[in-house]
Amino acid sequence: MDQYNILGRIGEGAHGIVLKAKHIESGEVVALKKVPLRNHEEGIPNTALREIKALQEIESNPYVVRLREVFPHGSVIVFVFEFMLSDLSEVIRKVEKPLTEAQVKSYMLMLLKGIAFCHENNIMHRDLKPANLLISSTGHLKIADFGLARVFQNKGDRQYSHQVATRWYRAPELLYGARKYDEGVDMWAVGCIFGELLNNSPIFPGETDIEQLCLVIRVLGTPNEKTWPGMSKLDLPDYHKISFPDKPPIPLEEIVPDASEEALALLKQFLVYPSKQRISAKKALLHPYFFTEPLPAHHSELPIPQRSSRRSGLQLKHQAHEYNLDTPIGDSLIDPDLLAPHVIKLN
Amino acid sequence: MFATSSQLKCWLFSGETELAKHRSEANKAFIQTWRQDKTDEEVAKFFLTPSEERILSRQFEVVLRKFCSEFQPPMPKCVIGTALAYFKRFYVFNSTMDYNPKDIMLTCAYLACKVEEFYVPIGQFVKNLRGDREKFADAILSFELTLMEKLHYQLTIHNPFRALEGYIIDLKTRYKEIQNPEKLRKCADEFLDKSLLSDACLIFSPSQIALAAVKFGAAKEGISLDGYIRNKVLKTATEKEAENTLYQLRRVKAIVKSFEQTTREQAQGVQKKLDRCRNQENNPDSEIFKQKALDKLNEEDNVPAVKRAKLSNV
Repeated sequence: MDQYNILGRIGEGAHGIVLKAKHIESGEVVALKKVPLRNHEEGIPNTALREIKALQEIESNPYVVRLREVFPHGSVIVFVFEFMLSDLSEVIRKVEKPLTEAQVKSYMLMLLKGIAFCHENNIMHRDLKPANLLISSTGHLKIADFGLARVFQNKGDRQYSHQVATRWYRAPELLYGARKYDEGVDMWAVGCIFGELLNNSPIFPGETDIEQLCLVIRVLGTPNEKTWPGMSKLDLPDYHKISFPDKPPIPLEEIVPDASEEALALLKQFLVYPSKQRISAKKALLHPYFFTEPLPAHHSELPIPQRSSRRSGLQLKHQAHEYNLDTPIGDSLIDPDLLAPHVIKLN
Repeated sequence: MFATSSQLKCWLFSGETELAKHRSEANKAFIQTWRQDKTDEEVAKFFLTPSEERILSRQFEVVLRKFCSEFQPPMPKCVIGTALAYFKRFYVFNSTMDYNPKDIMLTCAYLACKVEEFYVPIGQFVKNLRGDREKFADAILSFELTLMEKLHYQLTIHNPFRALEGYIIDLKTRYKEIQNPEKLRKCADEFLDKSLLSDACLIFSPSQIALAAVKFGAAKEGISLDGYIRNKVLKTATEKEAENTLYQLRRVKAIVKSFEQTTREQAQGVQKKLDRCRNQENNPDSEIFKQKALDKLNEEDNVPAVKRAKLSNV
């Protein structure tokens, strides 16, 4: 702990407080997540173990937040992450004008690259939501909070908890209480985030678990053997606890009215009942959506909301001035005539 | 993925010689810290030698495996494998005089349950122990963080059990020369079980251990798997790579088979010596340990105050 200078408080998560700090030796600014152990009768909480496990094994990826180190401090475990300025929920909340299509594409591209990487490494995140997608000072998106992440095995007999994922982004099979599920739960969440980026507001903002299911069913229609083949054979403990009148789906066009044709085509591939039919992250990256005009924005064209600190805002402006590409190059050069009198001529 | 794992990068050693070197360094470092003005002769009498430490840790590996296999509810194999791997990793760089294997052993089992998602509440966990259960629970929890730290927070263990399943499936689908590959399973399982008591998991990859197990199981049934290994498993390997793999398989077998049970008398003698030379700071029964635990809690209470002080200095 002596190696870090605490700069301030970033926030308080479900698992402990997060501080902004400076690594004294390298000068790097980091986020310290402190997980207290004192009130845990069971020792180190599972969420902390899962996060360590998931992040220790994967190689660094530009779209996954990097765990620099872990160390104990008294009876607290401290996770040291690279410092991130903001998160996607803040971007959605704070931008003055709606995100452009190019910007949405850029976020989706980064999100899908990160997810594809996790899934390739057999890690399900299980809690994707805008607040867990951090934004760096350069505009890059990185996936964070692996506290619910599970290393999965494609054996199909493993039972998992269904009480995962924040409600608005929870896949229908989870809402029905499924204990066996797969990476598809992440792809559903990606679909919800995509819809939220397109609309600037969440597409399924349920207040309760029941309402959540109602909202999903209102849009996708009441599930039946046709829209969810084999659903009666799936183990969905809560399916018979509640029944909904048969209703046809509402076309997604009506839910995200401003989306382009390609955006809708892709969105439709995330938001389907059967988990296996949801497009994989790897495949989604090849979707025509990302290759039609307007192309994904460069990360420098993405909004970076300030996390209240005034000083860093000034620093950013200053940088923007120094590296302004629009200024003619001649302006930054010194007139040779001015220098001439000062040059000492040899010989 | 094993290829990118911390197991491959940080926890595979070249062989028994390298392991012995690390262990004896840990031994030396401990003695150096605690010898005070003892002469070499007194040191030899008072402290454990590297080979005595080895007797002790081997003994506890046997105890740990027994504890795990009798555990209620029954532990999945991967939990047992992980618990033993933690224990072995721990004592590569730490002395048994510094941390008593009795405490570390239980903490390894408890942490392995959690990491392998085999959830057993601490209250239920200690029901598997005889004696003062509350004291056991306290000791386990107080060493959990230390254990994680000494494992460098690298908690994912790749066990050979899944690799064995893979080879059996592969034999069934790609190698019709054997009619019923299932019959290898019993001996192969026994081989893996035995490998848990050796240093195999610190030297070989899980797939090497599993392949050695399959080969051994087949040999017991009077079947040679050389054709399968050469023509299927190593089909794309160069001659040199193939030779090396076959050599490694022989090494796995030699290391697994070389296991010698330490006798109870041997272990008891070492244990007696340990009671005197162990680090009391890491002994949950000692006053100094209890004081340290209290200090830790207080330290945590003081953190906010320190933070405020630092902030106001900025």
